[in-house]
Amino acid sequence: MVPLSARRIKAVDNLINLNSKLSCNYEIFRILYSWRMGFKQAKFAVLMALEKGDFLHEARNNINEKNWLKTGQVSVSEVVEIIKICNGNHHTESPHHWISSVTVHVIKRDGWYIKFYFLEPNTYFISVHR
Amino acid sequence: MKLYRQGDSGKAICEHCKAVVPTTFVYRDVPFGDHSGVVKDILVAVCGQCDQVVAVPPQSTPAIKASREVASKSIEVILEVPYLEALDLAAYKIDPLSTVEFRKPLLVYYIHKLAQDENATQNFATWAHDLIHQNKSVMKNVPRKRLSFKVTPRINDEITEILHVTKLKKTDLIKGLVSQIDQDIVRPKTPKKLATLQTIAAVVTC
Repeated sequence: MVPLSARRIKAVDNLINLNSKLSCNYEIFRILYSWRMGFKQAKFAVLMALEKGDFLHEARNNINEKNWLKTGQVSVSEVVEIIKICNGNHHTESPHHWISSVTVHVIKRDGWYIKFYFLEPNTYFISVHR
Repeated sequence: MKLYRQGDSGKAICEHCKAVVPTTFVYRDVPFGDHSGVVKDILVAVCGQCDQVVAVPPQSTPAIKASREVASKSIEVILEVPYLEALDLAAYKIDPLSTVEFRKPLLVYYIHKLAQDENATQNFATWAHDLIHQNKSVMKNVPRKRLSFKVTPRINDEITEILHVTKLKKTDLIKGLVSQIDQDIVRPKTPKKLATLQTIAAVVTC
């Protein structure tokens, strides 16, 4: 990701807070968060996507057995509960293998491994398993 | 939940094109990554450039789950590497062109044969228990690897039945079966079951 100046981060945070107070518009949240995506923002955005059912699973011409959310071995609400109890210590991020401008987020908690990224306007899950 | 329809468009990362590509939602038959089956007629997003499946919406999950439950039960064990080497050697002896994918059919053949004969199962239990006990000291500092594969519910039931009759643990059952394979195929100069197993190898690797 492009490093942001402290001033811009603060400005985006103010916009996020303002939007939160005004209307909680999901799309505006997502655009704002894509500008300033730390763990808190990624967590919020992925939880919003899960709760709205507005997400997709990455596929590589087959059904990946490592994505239990895709295969139905774990429910959306279970994944939400796991992510909710995570903090920055459970999170790492790295550039996507092929598209370096896309940040891949990995959450590891209690044996769970959850890997996802945001490709506006969608949230893509790569792996959800333990 | 957001519901997609056939013909909807979007964008995704395509592994084949290694790029962000435009996508279109269509109905497709999609195989499981471990070749355990195919999910028929699910809505997926396909790449606008290479036509490969690049994304699956959550509305397709119930169909995937249903197909998966029919197709497979997971068998996972951690074995000392010499057991895996023996298994791979046997596979190689049966068919030099076979890959690690032949591990599963070979083990399933032995599981199925064992499940059909209760007396043989009892004898196998005693033999396997003694053999594994003898090998314990030899295998003490040997590295271990995971062996995992999916079987149909029918084979899974046979494994459960064998475990019930023999009182063996699943890992010990697999170790016993590999030891049996070692004795039947790897060690003899001309294994008795070679022709049958070569036919199976030809069928499953076709």
